[in-house]
Amino acid sequence: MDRSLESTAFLLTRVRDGDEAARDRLIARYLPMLREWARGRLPGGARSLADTDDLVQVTLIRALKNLKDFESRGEGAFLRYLRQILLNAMRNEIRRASRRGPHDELGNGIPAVAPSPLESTISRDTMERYETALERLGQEQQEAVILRVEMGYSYDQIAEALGKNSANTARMVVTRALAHLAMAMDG
Amino acid sequence: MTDESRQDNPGDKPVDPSFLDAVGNLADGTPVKWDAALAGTPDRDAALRQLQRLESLLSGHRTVARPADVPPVVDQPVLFTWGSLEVREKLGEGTFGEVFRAWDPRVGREVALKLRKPGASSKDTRRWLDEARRLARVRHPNVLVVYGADEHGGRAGIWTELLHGRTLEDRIRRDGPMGPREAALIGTDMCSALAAVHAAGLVHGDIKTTNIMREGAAFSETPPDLRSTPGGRGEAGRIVLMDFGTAVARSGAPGDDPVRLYATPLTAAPEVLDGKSASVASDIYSLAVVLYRLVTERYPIEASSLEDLRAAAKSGGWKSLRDVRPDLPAPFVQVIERALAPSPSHRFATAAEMERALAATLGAASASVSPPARRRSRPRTAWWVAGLALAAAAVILWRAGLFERDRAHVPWATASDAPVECRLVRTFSGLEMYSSFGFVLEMADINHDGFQDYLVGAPHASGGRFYGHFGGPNADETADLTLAGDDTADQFGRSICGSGDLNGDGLNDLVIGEARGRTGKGRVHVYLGTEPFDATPDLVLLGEDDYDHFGVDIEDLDFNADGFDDIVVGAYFNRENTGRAYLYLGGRFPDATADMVFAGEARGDGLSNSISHGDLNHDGYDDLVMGAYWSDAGGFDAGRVYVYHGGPAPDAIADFTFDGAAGDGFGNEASASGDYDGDGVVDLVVCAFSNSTGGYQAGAVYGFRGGTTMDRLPDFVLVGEKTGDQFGRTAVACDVSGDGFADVVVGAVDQDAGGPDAGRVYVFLGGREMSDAPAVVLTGNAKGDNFGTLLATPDVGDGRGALLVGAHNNDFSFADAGQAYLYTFEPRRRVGN
Repeated sequence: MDRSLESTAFLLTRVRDGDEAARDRLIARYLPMLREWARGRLPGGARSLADTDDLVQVTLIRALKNLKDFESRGEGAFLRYLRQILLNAMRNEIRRASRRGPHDELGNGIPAVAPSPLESTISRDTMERYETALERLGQEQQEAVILRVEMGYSYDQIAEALGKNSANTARMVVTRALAHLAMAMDG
Repeated sequence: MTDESRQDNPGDKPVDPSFLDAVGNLADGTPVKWDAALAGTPDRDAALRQLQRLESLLSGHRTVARPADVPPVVDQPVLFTWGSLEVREKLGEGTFGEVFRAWDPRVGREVALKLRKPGASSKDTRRWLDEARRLARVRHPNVLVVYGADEHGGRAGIWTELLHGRTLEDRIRRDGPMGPREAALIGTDMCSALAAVHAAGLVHGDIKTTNIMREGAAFSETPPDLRSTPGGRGEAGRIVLMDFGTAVARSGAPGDDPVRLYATPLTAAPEVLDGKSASVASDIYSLAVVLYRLVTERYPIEASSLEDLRAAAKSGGWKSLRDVRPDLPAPFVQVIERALAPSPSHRFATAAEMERALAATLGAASASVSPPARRRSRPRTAWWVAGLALAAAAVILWRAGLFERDRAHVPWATASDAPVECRLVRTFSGLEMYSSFGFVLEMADINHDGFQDYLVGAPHASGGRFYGHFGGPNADETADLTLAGDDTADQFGRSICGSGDLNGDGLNDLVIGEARGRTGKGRVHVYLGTEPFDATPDLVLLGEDDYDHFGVDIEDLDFNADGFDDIVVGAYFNRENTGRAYLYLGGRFPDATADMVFAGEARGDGLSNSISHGDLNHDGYDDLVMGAYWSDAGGFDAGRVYVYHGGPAPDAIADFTFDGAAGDGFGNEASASGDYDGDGVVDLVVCAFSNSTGGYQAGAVYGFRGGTTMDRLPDFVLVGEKTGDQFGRTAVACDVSGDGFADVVVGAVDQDAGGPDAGRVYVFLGGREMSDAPAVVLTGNAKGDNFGTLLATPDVGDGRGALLVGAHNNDFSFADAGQAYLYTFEPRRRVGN
């Protein structure tokens, strides 16, 4: 099979043209990954697994329906776009599912809830610094960080997602991005 | 890429090469050479801080999701992981094992983890785990909370609440002997704790001052009359019985094992010193030694050798308490001395008896202080524990039996000696990728031909879909009726109800929920029964608020006993997940205005996540049963079930509630549709899918006998096989076997026997005694199927009972398209018949 026919950028173009099969392939590619990603970020106890999956699925399907806002540049960019939409959707859900009242607000106005698995391991201060610092990086660096830190991509996979010619190059991009992220988090 | 065009892009700044190397190591997950990394940096402190932040960020993400291609994390402040627990610090070591402080990332709490030393035989380990799990069933304010027990990497372990406080031994060593009142108060708490332990079929075996802790404040700050409060976990002063390292099953046959003395000799009963097994009586003796020591700082018998100790103990040769402390009130001394009787038969028969005696001394112990009020919740707690104890043996037997069946690994199986046969007769398949066909199931006669029809929801299909498969002699696997949500629909088919007759015309009406429209509001579509079926809804009920999941569950019942069925619609996300349910009364001309609103108690409770009905109080009227599975009434995320009695003038105030224990998610599903004990009264089956008795979120299902004197004592408890099974994500009580007793059918959608998360269904036959072992076990076909949503009917139309099981993530047609399976039940035919 011609790999370019399976690339995210190509599939996105097809989806925009109304190709249902391309849409299904993209869903099959990203749904499991985003489910895994979301499970670590939704507060423990507040939602059942089915609800998390439900939210991810609905968000992904909606994102694919609103592709006109998105300029496709490749897998890294698409994942960053999905991540942002999902993050917003989760913030809304968390706000609704809030069980501990309006005290102890996070920077984004998210009321405190039972900690998510991620919050249990990373302090809120670090998470807030991370999100702010990420915004300050360039697009490619943002993508590199998200793919490595959040999605757990290997350097091979990152090279493919970012269109780099080797895993070594991808590793350099990731390392530089993380170094700048670390400095921006301190700023 | 144009990212370099940003003016403030920090990515433009030069980076020190040694710093970059360290970042590379962190990104790879390999060890960082800290000295080298910091050597070349101009601001060493800033660089260290930045690297540490980055390290915490990376390791945190890796802990949460660790895909196979990410190298194992090194250099993180976790000593090791055991199961999903992250072990952070060693707290101590004993003969049998080590104790660690650990973090449970799944629930975000610190726990104490006790790991057995490696090298025990597998039989020994299994027995130890069984006992630890039995201990996990003991829920009492004065007993250490055991969260679970498991084996990982060849090491068996038990994890419990992490206590902060001082032992009673520390207390007397620091502040000297206690007054009789303080000791008697501790004594009543300990008796109450022991009663719970004994009721669970266990004995402690090593009661001593170092095994009892007072939680919270330092003792010097504790007023002498401060008593622990029931259920007041975390409050200063709670007395906690801990260290069950030597606890043994009370029912163990004596003489099984070579006699070993595990208990501490100075507190051990004479018969234990003689080599007999620990018992209720020996626990009572040891408690008396503890109380003796609390008021004197001495042991009743102090000997220099085990032989001397034995001889003195047997002859009752202890120093009289009155001689050591003449100021003690006589009743207090009498209680202690009776419990110290050399012959077990002369001691208190039970811990409860000793507790009553001790409580009676409290007036005498301090005449100026009136005796404390009886504890509000204890009798209930004691009953609860007693009920669990009755079930414990059966549960363990059942699990053992099931283990054998696991090995057969067949897609479905009926126990060879079961009186029923179960057959797969039809398979219905989802037709759209990710549609979750089978997530919602219903059986009802919607085409009014006298046969049950099989109704399946596929809420994640585009807009959501409903499929009706008509039953009867000509039934096939093709849907006869398909309804899709309109353009604005989302999750149409999230709930289905088809057995009610709202307008009293003698024809069943079909009600379909759409938990979330594209605008965010949930809707419920009511199709009044007509011949032929008219696909235009007669009524559309609308939720109150956006995204409150109105329509997540629907139930029909005649709540006000007027002969017309009414419908109840749940919205468990309403009011910041407080949860609400709305009752729409039936009548000649039903309307879309809610007639009654049932409101959850607190934010986050999620009232109406499950709705069912049945005549639980046996007054001839349907009662409404609703779950609020994240209610904190019985502990964090314990869950609560509400019963609202129906009748000619019903109200929305709960008449009865049941609470789970912390973390249980009690009430995620309930069924009041069957009489499992055959006494003519409907019983209640309640699921607690995240109960961790059998392993973290193994799940549990409770049975409560219905009737005019319904109580909170469970008749039986069934426990999931393994960690993460979520046994009880679904359950229904229904006489599928046709023997006159409702059977309890339980789904465990995340069970792994057929592959990870393939799912499993168990059928337990009802009877005067609930069956110990499932008569039928059905296993999902493939990993990720989530086989286990279910619905049952006693009669499909030809006298046979039937079970409809969904596997909403099955991939047979398309990825996650889903399937549903119809099984029928018949009495087993004998060979030669």
